[in-house]
Amino acid sequence: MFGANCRVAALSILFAATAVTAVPAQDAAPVKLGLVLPLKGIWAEPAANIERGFRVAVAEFSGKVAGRPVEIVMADDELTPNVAVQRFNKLVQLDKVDIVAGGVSSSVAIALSELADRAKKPLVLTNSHADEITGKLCSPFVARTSFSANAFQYGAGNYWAKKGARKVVTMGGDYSAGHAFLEAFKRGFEEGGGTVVLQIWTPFQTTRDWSAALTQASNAGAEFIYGYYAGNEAVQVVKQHADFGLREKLPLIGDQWLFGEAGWPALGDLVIGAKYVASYNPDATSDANRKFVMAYRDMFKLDPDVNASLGYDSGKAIMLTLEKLGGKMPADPAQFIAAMRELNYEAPRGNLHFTAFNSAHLEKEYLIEVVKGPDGKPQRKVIDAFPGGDDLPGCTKSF
Amino acid sequence: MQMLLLQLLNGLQLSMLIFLLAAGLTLIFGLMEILNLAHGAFFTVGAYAGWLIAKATGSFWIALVAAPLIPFVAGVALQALVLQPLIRRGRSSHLDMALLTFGLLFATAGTVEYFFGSSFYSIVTPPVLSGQVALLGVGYPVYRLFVIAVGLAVALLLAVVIDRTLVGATLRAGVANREMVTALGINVNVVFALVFGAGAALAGFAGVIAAPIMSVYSQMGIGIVVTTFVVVVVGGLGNLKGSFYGALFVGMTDALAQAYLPEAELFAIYILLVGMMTFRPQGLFGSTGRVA
Repeated sequence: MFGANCRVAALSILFAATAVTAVPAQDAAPVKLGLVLPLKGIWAEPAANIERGFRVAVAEFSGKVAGRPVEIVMADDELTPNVAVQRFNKLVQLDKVDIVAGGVSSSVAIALSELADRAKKPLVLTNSHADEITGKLCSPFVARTSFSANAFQYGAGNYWAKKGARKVVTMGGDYSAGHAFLEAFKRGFEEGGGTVVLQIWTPFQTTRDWSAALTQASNAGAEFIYGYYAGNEAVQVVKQHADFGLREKLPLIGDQWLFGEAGWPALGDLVIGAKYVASYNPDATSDANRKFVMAYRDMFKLDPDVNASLGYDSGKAIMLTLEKLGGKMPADPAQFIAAMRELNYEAPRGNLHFTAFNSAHLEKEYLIEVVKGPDGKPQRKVIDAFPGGDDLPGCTKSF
Repeated sequence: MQMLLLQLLNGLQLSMLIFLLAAGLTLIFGLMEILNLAHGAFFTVGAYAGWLIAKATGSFWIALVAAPLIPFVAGVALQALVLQPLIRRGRSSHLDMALLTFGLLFATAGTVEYFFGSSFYSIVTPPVLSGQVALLGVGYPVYRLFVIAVGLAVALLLAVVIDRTLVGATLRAGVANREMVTALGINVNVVFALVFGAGAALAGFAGVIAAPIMSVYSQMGIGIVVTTFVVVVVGGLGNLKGSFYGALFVGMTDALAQAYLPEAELFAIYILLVGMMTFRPQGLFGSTGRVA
């Protein structure tokens, strides 16, 4: 009896609500963005920062474009391509999203690119630096707002060679990203006149002890180790490198993933003196960066890192494109990506524009040293800046 | 030469760490014929307990002594409250035990992840054991030498206890003929629970020892339990001496493969296992009579 009454009441409220919103509902239907990230597991922390950055970008437009609210639908790819494929299908078929964004791991991104190409759904990748995504596997439905492995590491390798380094050992995880990044470093370094005397590959995600690799590296007669590791693996490598007393004799140099801010608390004093190459400098004084950093602090009471900036770049590129299109998805979904390709604006990391194959260009890289601040805490000091490299060729389609 | 020496030290250090786990596992199997896959869970629990204690007290040494008590209690409770009632109800086949403890291993990893998240934590190396010693002109971390020393000391202690004491005699008698020990008036259930607890404590102890090198994280027990099983099978199920040499075999194979044949690192120890099962299924020191 009571239950039936309740249901009637609920129904009448529902009817009243639809009656009121029925008229404007037509053009105020939300634009739906699916955001696929590895929310759990070893990359949970970078993923959380990417999501935050992405949300800051959407909030910058007050969550609306041309009067339509923008809705973000989250999905967890569990860092596994086949899970990502299921999530993509769910986002497209069930949630009916207009655009899919995200993809941190390159293997996930490759699986999603193929799917987006077949489903004709715009896919905007936030990280996924593998060269072939905008090379051999390029698609008119896929854009990458970050940068390619080659752009980043060729630039870094070239920089070190030009600074006079001659012999280097590289060390990294034995998986696609590890190879892509360190091979690019090698190309840049050797074309600049140096030699990579030894490349050490350690099993990805299963290595806990780097003693064998470090022992090999210390016998190679190199000036320093250039490492590519991320997250927890990075913390382990830096610690064990110090355990073996190699900090003075054979310094470990790397990039923003090896010495990322997220690992600083775990490393303590070991991070002081570390030198790394970064695609983003949170202390940059450009207007675009100051605006981003302030909005990020306002929303999350945290300082942004490189992953937050990559999430922001993706979100902002999507919002700017939507704005350009007047909040309407074009009949041909490839036109969405084509419109994004025309963007050219100042992002927190520097100027952002796309190549003919939908990959964002990396304008600038920084060499950062971690120093002890006046409060005793580690802080960044920019030592140098240099241009990023180009993407590898390989895309044979024209769009 | 220098390179080989360092790799041998790395192998020895890994061997001693696995031995701490294998010793408990093999004792439990030898006495109770329980294939305890949850051994990796005790390793995890010990490491997390050590991390929490070290964080609270600031002392690695307090953590090293106190943390194993938690897996000890958990081990005694598991044996007395879960496994023994199950055995009394007639479910004591290897498969029953393996399935139950297998579930427990993953349930523990999930529970730990629920409470502590998926981040890695580390116990700070105590100052006395930080730094390096010069060996043939190369620095070798003191802490890793400490791990080797601890492993050897535990091996020696266990050998003395089992060969020279009444407790050891009871254990050996229990392995050889359980009914006879019961007939002599020894409460087998208590002995079983205590041995199970001691094995779990040893695994937890290994967890604390491993923490400064390998970090503390929710899945840490799952990978290592597989390696430990290889050691126990290679050494001969239920045989302590076998586990010691088995650990040396496996640790050295792993470390040398890492250095000289990196392509084979992921499967080198499994080739060792397959070879052993094919040509000497009872293991290095196993008695031919036992069917595991």
